[in-house]
Amino acid sequence: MSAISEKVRVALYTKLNVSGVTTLATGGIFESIAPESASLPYVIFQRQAAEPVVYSFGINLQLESDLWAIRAVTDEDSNTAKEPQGLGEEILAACQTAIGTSLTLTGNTNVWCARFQDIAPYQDPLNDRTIYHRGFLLRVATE
Amino acid sequence: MAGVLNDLGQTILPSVFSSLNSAGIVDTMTIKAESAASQGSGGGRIKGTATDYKTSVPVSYEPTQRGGRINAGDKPVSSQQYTLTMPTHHGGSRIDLDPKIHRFVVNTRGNEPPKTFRIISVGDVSGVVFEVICEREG
Repeated sequence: MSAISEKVRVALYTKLNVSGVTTLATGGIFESIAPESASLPYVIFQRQAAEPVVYSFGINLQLESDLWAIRAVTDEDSNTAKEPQGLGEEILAACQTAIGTSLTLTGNTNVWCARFQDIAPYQDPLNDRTIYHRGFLLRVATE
Repeated sequence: MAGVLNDLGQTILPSVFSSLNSAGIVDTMTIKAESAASQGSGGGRIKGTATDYKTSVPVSYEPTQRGGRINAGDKPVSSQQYTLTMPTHHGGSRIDLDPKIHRFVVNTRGNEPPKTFRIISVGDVSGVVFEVICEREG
């Protein structure tokens, strides 16, 4: 994993960990995996896939692009007034609003930050309830 | 035969469990019931707020096998299976256990905190006693 993606990870967390998101995703924002103490609903984000690095002559880094997965995780106990699927989509919309179209990085310039495609929804059962996953891929390019 | 089982389930076992509770041998619990799930405008289920279906129901619980850890909902979950033994009748009426909407909360006892058990399946022993397989998440 490159140092640039680490900067992007920190920048994404900073963008996502705001009240616009956490008032819906009350469990919090986590990278890759939530801690055992976390309560649903929450947001998981992680670097999902890297694109080939672009160099100029002399092996000078020109552009580094990654796809980041942003996922809302909800269950039937998350809300007594909303469907878990709908709550997940609301959280994702709040994530998109919070991220916007740019990230602030130290020492690098973010040149692209936008939703690339949606992730197919899926569910997994846990004891007496169902957990719902909704998400999208965010393409982030940095030079 | 049916009369014996009915006597056991409706009169004798509730009395036995009550005595065991009075003697401090078994706990009591609240059976929480979610109001019937409605269907949202997008086809999903919306669970209602949980209310108390039965309170002070005598119960004993014990682990039935080694627990484990699983990953669910993108987080590690510690899960332990228990068997809860309880009467089929309480307060003069039958307990109509429904795994879809019921959840158990064993009451505080001394230093023991309240404990939530999620129902996996309900074992009905001849209508005399329930042996309920539950999971307790850590």
